[in-house]
Amino acid sequence: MTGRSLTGAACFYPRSIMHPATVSKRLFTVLFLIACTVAASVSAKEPDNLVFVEGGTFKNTNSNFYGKGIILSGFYIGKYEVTQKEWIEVMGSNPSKFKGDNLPVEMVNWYDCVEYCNGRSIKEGFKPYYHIDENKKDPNNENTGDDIKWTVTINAGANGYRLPTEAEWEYAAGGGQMSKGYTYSGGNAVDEVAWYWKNSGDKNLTGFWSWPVVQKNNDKTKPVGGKQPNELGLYDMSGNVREFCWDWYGDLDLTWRVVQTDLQGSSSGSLRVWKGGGWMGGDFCCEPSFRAGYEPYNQAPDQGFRVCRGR
Amino acid sequence: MAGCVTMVANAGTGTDHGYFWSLYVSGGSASISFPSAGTYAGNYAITWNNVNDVVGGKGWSTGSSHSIGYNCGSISGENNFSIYGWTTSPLIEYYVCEMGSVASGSAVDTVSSDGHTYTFYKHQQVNQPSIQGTATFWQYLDQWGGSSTGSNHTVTMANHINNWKSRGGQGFGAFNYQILGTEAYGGRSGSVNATVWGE
Repeated sequence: MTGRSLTGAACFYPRSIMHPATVSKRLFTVLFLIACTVAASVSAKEPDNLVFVEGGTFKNTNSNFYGKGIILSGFYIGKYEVTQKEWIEVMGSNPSKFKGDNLPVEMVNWYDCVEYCNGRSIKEGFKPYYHIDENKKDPNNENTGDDIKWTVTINAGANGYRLPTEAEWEYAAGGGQMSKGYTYSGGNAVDEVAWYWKNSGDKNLTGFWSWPVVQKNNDKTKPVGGKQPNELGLYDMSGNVREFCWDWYGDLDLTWRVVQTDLQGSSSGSLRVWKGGGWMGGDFCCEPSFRAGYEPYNQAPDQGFRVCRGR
Repeated sequence: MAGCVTMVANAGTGTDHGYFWSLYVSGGSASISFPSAGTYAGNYAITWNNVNDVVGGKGWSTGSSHSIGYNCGSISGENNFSIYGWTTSPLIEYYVCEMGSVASGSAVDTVSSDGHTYTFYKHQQVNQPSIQGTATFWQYLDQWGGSSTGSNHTVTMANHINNWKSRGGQGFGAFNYQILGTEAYGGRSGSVNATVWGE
């Protein structure tokens, strides 16, 4: 009689009793083939350090986008903020103020981040997501202090690395379809989930924020993944470094008119959205619903990012 | 219960009798205590010696447009004695200076409050640390400097806030912390004993 292993290969089982050594050898071969097939299928579905976020409507009631008819498609997002090791592999140098392979990269401006995304796409064989025209001043960029003003547009159908939109970032930070409605990304107790001004230095601080106090306490970035993850297994979406998003920073117009899929923000502006808070600022910045903007040409020791990618 | 005396050297923050407090010093030395806080919860005393910079005081974790009362029993060797705080969305850092000076940037107009007149200055901090992390933001600086020791004074914050909203040009956001603070720098030595309260 014949049977089929999990690989689908036909196996022949003779009526006669086989020698034990032969049985062992065939069993090992079958098991080895099964293991290879499983390993291959797992690695194809789970890229290194990316988590697939199942799409849908917003479940976290704390979100700005909750109950507004916004639907997101599924996407991959970095489990961690982009590290200095990952940055150096693509860009060749490290601009960060606080040095360490597993520290999040910082001192990168928004243009640096979109360059990294394309560079990593090319390196890993994905079609670059962004078309970057360094010679064309972006007519939608209203920032009078920006001497860069590259025009960055999206390549249709590209599956390469990119920044999250503000809606995607907030959806993932809030736990996606698995959301438990936490105040911060991964929990309600900020010290368990986030590095921010009170806990990112030599001693735990109390009272009110003061830059001299923060500086004297040696507050700084921390190795990624050191706090509790959220419902999707994402780390440091609250705290450590602030994370650039794709969108211009402008008023959120979320009046329910019609269901919107894959919302992107304002079509023009002066600042790019950052989310999640960082080691320097207050706990309120670490709430996924908090939003602020930063000049696209500026860099800071508390400003970094994480990547997204399509399937 | 008698006042709690907490001696803290150099940088420190905490809570005392329901008020947040903070002290920073660079160069020289400084310490903070709360000698009369058992009776007057908003009381604090700071001494400093040959400091490059000392900043300290007591206040609220979330400010408001309430009126703020204070009595400064004694003060010497200070650069300014002010109501100090932040708002977010938009990010604004503000001072209402009762003694000394915070004048910087460009004068906008004057505002009358509590029987005297302040000059409203605006100054932009470019890519600097803030309660939201590194940011470019505006400071609103209302300068009077003519207060006195040993008697109760009031800062009607609503007068300042209304003027900032109408003339500041940068808006005014959600309150973050708000304190009565003292700052000194440039190698100075001195002390302050003051009490703050909400009215």
